[in-house]
Amino acid sequence: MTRRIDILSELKESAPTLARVPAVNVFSVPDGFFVDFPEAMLELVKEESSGLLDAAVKQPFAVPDGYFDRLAGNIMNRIMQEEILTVKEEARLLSPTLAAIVNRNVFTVPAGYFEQLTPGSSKEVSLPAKVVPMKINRGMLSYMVAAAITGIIGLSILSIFNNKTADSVVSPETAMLQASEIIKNKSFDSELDKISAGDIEKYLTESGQDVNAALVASATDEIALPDADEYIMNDNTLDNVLSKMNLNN
Amino acid sequence: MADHLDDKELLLLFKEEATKESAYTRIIKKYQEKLYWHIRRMVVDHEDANDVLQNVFIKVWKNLANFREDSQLYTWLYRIATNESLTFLEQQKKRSSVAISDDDNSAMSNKLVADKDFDGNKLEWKLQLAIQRLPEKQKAVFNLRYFEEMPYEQMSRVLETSEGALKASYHHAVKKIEDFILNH
Repeated sequence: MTRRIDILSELKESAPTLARVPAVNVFSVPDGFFVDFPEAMLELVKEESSGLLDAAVKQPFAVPDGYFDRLAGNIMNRIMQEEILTVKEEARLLSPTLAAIVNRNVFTVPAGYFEQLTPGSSKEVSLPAKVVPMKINRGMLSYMVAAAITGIIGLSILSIFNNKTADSVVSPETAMLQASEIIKNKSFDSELDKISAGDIEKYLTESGQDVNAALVASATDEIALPDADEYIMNDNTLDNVLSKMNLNN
Repeated sequence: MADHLDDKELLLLFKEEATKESAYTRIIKKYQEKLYWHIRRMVVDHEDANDVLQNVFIKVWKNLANFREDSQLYTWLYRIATNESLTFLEQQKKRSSVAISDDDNSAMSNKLVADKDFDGNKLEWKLQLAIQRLPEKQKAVFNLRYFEEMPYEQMSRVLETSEGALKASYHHAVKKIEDFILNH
């Protein structure tokens, strides 16, 4: 075998002894090996492609009919049984003393407690309502004042017609005149400015109006109220709404 | 039968269902001996070499249709043969109850000595004994260069290693073999 010049010179440089070793093949193959190999190989890959080799390694054992259909259920049953046993066994193994103690509830609840919890029960558990402190500011009263002007006019007329208060000093004519002047001059704002927040509050209180309720009702026009579910799911929902209304301190 | 078709033509025939088997047989005939000897030098025993060669051509049957022609068929086949040989040797090591280090591959040396043609006085058999003491990958590098006379650039594609690393590996292998021959 003739060596390539570059490989030979490479060897002579680094390993002169090895360069003198003939690069001959010392191994031999059985006679006809390379003649038969291509056909044998083709048969092998065809067998593999046809799945014959897979079939040869297929499971030779059989299982009872329906075995796999029932297997999951059987295993679950066994797990359940073992779990029940395991709790008792576990206690016995870990602490025989503990296992010997009768598992009895030592706690009690007030009489009728569970009946109260039952949905639809007539006796509902009465929880204290959430107390929300409120303050009145002038900006928030604008809606109320608009209602108050109408109320003043109406109140004046009614008080005169019904003669229910001795303090009524405004005649129906005067009230109507004043009202028509306000409407004519569009002087709602200036008229409102003349009335103090205290007077409005006093008027609403005397006329049987809930000032806080009126305040919240007027303020909620500007605020998108949350869904009813949100009040149930989130304790902070009410606080958040009032905070947006600027009513909560 | 020397095949007059080149690798590209063989690949085209393999991709046609009607000529697939014929092309496959022709590819085997063209490359079987080169691949066999490369494998045989790695695994020493003929039966082992036959097993590895069969694995190589099974992989060829399964994957040749997807072979990307941006590399040569020859290089691709040598890569499969080298990887299959290295995998075989690795599995054999794991199966062996005796821990065998790369530098003292006594199991491979024993196989060599057991060969019916072995003659320890002949320099070419001493060379084989020295080769079996090399680490597996270095053995592949030495065989491809020394016996196959493969250029480093092609070896780089077969072994997926840089040419510089291959040159260094071959140089170390040559030095180790020279030392062995001089001392045995």
